[in-house]
Amino acid sequence: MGVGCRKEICFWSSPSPYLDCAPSPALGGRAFYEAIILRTFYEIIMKKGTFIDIRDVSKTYPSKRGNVEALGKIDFAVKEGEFVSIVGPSGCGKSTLLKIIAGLLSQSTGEVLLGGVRVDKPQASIGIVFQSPVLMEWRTVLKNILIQGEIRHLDLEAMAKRTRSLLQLVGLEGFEKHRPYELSGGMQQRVAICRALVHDPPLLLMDEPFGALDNLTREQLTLDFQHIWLETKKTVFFVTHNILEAVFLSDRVVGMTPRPGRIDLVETIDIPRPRTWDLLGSEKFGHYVEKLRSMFRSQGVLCDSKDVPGKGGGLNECRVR
Amino acid sequence: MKRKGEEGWISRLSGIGWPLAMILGAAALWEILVRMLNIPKWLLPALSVVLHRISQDAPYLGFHAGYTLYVIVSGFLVAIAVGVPLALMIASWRFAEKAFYPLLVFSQTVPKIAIAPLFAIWLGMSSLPHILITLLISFFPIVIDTVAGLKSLPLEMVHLSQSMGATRWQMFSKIRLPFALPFLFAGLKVAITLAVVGAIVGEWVGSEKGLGYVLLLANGQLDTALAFAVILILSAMGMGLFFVVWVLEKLLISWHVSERTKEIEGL
Repeated sequence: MGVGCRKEICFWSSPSPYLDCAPSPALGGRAFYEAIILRTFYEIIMKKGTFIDIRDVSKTYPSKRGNVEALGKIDFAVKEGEFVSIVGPSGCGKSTLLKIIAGLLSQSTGEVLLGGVRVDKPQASIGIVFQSPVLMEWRTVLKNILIQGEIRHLDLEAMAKRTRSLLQLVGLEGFEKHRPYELSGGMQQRVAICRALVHDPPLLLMDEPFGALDNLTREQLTLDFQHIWLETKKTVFFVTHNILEAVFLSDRVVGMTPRPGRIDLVETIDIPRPRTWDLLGSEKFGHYVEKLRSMFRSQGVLCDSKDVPGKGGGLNECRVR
Repeated sequence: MKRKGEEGWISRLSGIGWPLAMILGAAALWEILVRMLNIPKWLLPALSVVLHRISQDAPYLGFHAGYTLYVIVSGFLVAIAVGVPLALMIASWRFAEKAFYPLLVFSQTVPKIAIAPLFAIWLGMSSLPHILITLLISFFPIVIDTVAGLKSLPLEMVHLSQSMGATRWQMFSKIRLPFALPFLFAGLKVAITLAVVGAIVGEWVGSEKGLGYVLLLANGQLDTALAFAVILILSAMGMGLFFVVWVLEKLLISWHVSERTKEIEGL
């Protein structure tokens, strides 16, 4: 039930009993029982299977013209191994939420539990992918990925081996010695994904990872990423403003309101995997997409011409973005 | 196909050819003009005269050039040793920025030539005041550029390293410093040229050695050929030192956008 019970993937050091390998009798009498008790305790207290527990989290930024409420109260739980996407208009605080989960930003109210442990500092048991690849120009592709191991003091040889298989998985074998600038944007983002996965973290946080790519690359990378996810089965928290991408990839899609961001809609995507882009024409896929689009329309984020006359106020009814 | 050949020829020429051709052209123009216009030797000696003077006085000039080189290099090295840590402090602590930045700007606005005599009074006729002036004149660009480099690290990279659980030291040595290196080198390139100026200013104010001293002497005696000899040697020295920094830069930050020799396209 633990996230990973193979020895080689227990890289992170977490006080959470369940994140570590299953208690082994080899621990010796007392430690073994303590581990068992902690684990049982955890399973009773936590909602079973919950991995990210966001409890009434909000964020308010102080500014000269008074406080800016970036994130309204968010109460949401992500299950272990689940792929959850957050869609919302820009500025709705979805990236803020991701950073709060990662411990990179502090919340104003509420708390986030990651594997049952309160997040109060930057979390190291995660992999993170940003909109830009954030690669280190001075390192080769291989070394860009290996930095995870260097900083965490892991066995670099094992890491290098894993890196090679990951690079193969994303179709970049043979590029180990290349510098980031020798790669296209899509390839760079593939490297960034490898870097986020190489230490086998239980959680992958992605902040509009395909947002800076052209549409063709984006489509391909989304498809490839599904493949990677199916191989690794991580818990993924995926922030995007692209509805199609969210529906395509996710188990559940969370729709957010404009600032201050609140949860407007949670949609479970009941389409079997592996999914292909042929789905675009299918009724089921269209149904989910339309549901999210109509949410944005009712928020005034999206404006169809057919909506305008009905509302009487013309374009004024819509938020001009 | 002919076009391709032409391009190759032009690019080869622009590599080494152009600078060399320009220098030779200027030298020839100098020589020809001085000879044609019959300019008196004390006003502007011909290049050949200056070169002859250099070869004639080689040991004498060599000794003084050696001293000046020593002043430039030690002043420059101390400037790095002072400038980089100072930049680190300014970039990492807000209070250091507030405390040191005004002082730093002040140290640059004070004309070095005005305070150089004070150094000579305080420190006597040693090489110390010369090195100090060199340091003072050349450390500023090092500090400013390094601070800029350290501060322009993208926030996402900071977040990334935090998500790896990087310690402060790891963050600095593996990310912040390599990221700032191109900026540091930009500062070093400016600093090395300024260091040459600094050494000469220092020697002018009070010295019994060095090219600055020889230059003063030559001016006093209206020995224009000697003055030009010194100037030629100084600029050769400056270019040589710049070249050393440039080569170091090429070696250390070959990955940087300013150093890329080939762009790979179509990927």
